[in-house]
Amino acid sequence: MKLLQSIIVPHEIVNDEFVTVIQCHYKSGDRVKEGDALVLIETSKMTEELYAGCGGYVYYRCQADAEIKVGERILEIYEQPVSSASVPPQKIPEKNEAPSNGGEAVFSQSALRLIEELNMSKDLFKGRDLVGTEDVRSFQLQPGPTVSDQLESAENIEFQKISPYKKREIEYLNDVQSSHLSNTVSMLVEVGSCLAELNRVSKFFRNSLLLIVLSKLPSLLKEYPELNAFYKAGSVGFYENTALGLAVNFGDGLRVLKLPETGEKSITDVEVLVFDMIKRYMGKKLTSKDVAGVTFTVTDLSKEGIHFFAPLIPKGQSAILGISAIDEKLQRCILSLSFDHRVTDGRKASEFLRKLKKRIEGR
Amino acid sequence: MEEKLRHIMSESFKVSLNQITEETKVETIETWDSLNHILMVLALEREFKITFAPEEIIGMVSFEEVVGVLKQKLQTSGIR
Amino acid sequence: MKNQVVSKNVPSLDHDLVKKAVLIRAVENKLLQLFSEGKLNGTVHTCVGQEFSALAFSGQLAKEDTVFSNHRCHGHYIAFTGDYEGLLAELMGKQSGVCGGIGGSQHLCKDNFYSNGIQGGIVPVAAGMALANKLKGTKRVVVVYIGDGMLGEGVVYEALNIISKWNLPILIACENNYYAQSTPSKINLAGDILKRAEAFGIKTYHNDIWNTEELMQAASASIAEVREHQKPVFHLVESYRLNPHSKGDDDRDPDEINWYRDKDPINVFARENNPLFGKIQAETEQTVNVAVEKILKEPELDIRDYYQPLQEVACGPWEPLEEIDARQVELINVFFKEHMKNDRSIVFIGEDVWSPYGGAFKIARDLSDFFPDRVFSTPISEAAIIGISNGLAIKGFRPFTEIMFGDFITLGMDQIVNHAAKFHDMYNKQVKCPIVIRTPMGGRRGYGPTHSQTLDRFVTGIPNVKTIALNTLTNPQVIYQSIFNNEEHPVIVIENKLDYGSKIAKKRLPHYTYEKTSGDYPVVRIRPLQSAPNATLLCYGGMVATLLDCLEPLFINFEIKAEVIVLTKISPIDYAAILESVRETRRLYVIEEGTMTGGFGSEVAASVSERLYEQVRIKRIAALPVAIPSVRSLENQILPNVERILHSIAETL
Repeated sequence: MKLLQSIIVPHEIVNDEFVTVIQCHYKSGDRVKEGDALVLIETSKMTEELYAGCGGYVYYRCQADAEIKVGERILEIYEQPVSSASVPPQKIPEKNEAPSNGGEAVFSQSALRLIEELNMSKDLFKGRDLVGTEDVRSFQLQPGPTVSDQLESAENIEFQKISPYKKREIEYLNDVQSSHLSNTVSMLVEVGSCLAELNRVSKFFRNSLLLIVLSKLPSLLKEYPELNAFYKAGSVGFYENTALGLAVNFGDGLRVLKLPETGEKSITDVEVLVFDMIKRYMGKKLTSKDVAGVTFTVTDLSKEGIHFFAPLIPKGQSAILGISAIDEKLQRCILSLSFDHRVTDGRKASEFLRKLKKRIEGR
Repeated sequence: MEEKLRHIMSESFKVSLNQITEETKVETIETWDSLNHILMVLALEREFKITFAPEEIIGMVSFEEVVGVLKQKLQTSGIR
Repeated sequence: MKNQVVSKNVPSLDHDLVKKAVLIRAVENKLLQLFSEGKLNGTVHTCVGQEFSALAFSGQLAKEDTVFSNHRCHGHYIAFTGDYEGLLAELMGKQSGVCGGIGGSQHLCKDNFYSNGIQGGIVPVAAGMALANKLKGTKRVVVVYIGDGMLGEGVVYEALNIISKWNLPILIACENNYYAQSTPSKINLAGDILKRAEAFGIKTYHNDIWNTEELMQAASASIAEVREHQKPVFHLVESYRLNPHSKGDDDRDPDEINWYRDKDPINVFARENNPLFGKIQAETEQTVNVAVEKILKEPELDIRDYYQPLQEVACGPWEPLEEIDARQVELINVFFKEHMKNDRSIVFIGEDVWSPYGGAFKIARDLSDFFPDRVFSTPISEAAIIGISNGLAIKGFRPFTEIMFGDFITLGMDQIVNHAAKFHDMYNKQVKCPIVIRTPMGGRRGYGPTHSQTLDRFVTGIPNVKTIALNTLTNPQVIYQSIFNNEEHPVIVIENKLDYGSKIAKKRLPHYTYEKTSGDYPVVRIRPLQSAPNATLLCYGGMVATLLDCLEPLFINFEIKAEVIVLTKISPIDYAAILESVRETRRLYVIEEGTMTGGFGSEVAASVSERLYEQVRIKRIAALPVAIPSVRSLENQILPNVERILHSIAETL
């Protein structure tokens, strides 16, 4: 099995590191004559044929449409046909290699050691991206079942790391709620008198008290500073100004967007302000000024058909107002006010809610 | 132009194309809520290279309304 | 030292001409007086004694012609624009000054008059303006004033070479006043002045200031010749300045000065037309004094009208990174092909860019076939070609200038720093210089120490200049489109030799998402699919491939789950994406191919430390501070490689 000629990828263009193989004109094992064009390659400047320097049997070491490094062997010509076993395997350039673990997780060395120590199976981490010792440990720290139980039930459970957004959301809500000292008061608001007008004026916020609530809140909050404040380490911080925030969920997590002044504005004006804020958020034109400094949040689940809920108070605030869906038959809906008992109390919260109800009902 | 609009509305409200007709309005499409409305507005601004004023945004409550506002804006900005 | 001077013709000098000369002299003398009273900012380089040289050229041009002058520009300015009030106000630092008090004595700009205090560098810029006129097909003339001292600067000769070869319609008015600052020309000026121009094949003329009428006529003829024949002329004018170089620095022989003072055309006229001259003098002084009194009461420019801090761009939304099955070099080439077709203001300038060669890295392939009148293949003259590009840019063109290797940008630093970057601000925003300089940096080709460097540190942090770096994850067409659409000021684009042949975002690591921001200069982010990153790796340009090769070993060996951020705009830097990442990871590693001190990494480290309240561990990994060897095995160890990066990061854990 005499090797007659071996052709390497020529280094013609000074600045090329790779060339692309366009087409192999023969199959490995074909008989070729001297002068036959064997393979078409493409450099950064032009395409070029490589020719057989002698007759013989050609064996390719490249593939069509693949890149091959300059200086690498691209084909060989043998005196006699070669059995497949003795032909060196086709060389595929490393950089183009498909990942060897094709979708399986990558384990750090320490993680692998720990897994072995703990007698765990790598399969537990199927679907993960990078598995380090912390990941192995936190897997182990699930309360309840022992390691062996875990092994058995492993097939029925799929763990997914929470997204950074969710992580922040948890942080955001954990702050006040972890004191276990929050409570919620709710009240029914008669909407008969204002609903028709609301729906006529706003098509997008129909059957919701959101816009009118936003217009009534600022002046009311001035009268109840403890609902425009927050608890911190034994003190209450009262905000000098009111800045309403609207809780929205665009599918990528909870966000609270700060609204400009909505006090005593008309429904239409409030609608314009809300849309402007949403537009700037979705058009990615928000700056940190637009999200920071919310003093009181409003959350509206009327669209979801929720008729009652107890909203969670965000970090840095002492209260939050939840708007539920309007009961069309009875022409009323529930407003819920959750409040931080370390800052205020049920009586104040109820008073606030009552006044809000009256202002909405137009009395 | 109306075809482009129908595509944009269909994508923004996640409904099939044939659900967008000349009679379409906010009340008839459940997913035409405030958020998806803004999605549509942004997509229209990008597609036609125009900007909507806030008053225009809240007024575009039906397919016809949107067409009307678009026609006006495209005329004045001279874009084909 | 005393040259032959035959003084005649002075009595028959046109009275109007004399009035103008007297005005120039009166303004200069007034400025000297104001200086001694402490009412001027900076010093003045008066042209007393050389007024007629100003009037001969600047005073006989059309409004649409252009004058580019040097530090001793007052006479040229008044002769061309008549705006003595603006000049006075400028030196007195007032808002109503020619450049709002920003440029001062040596940096004037108004109605096609420009001056810059950098010796030599003005010539290629003026040549670029002449080229602009030629491309527009107007029969306008550019006059550039040089002095005998300026003949020491190399860029003058680079420019003369090109001016001659390209037949640029420019008149080089050389005022030889026998002294360069304090040094007599015979000490520093070898050979013959005219022979210099003649050596380049440029037509020359020779006059002196004391045969004033002759000078006026000869100058007029030269201007007409340039205008009609659209070819350059070098016109030498012997003259003498009666005052010191600036103020009080005169070591010349007083007898010599007096001899010339005697022969001075204005003084001769004064002697021979006494009553008339007295009247002219008195009226002129009165005019100047009245102007000064008025100007003294005027306000100065408010800083807010001069400088506003740049707003940083917020971090845009992240969108998926697409792969493009085309090589970087092709994409850039096609960008030029398409845009030069649609926009006649684009000019492509570089060395060896003509077809079929198409430039050292083939970026310019075929361009000269399609656009022969707007592709310029230049001599090896980096300073001149950037200068010419500056001139073109000021006059409304969009030059894209290729510097063959990034290492050679050092040859053009003056034009970048003291010209391109300065024009807009120092002329109080009256002009814009939208030049784009493209140059490939980076090693790993074995080209050796002077052809492999990454010199970002010298072209970043220059006020008013943006520095952009291409990479193989971003479509270069998007970048060039952003530059073309948005940038009105100088831009330097750092390309990379190795990257030219790469396709865009082709090879991906399986456990990472590849995203980019949608803004003008996309930031690329590569982060683990699910895991929260615990380190931020930052780089730009050619370091991307090496950095990505580090990701897996970093994790496997050290449990670092890295998030890679790749910037395209590296000066000024928008920090939003970096800060967002570093706030989470608290570890920032900047990996760069330049040497460490004062480079990209230093800037990032300082800025991030300043802006973050949280504690962050920062480290820079860079090339070792020694010349880059040609031998590959050593080069690989000098430049950051995977091994060294891993070790450097491990040290911080």
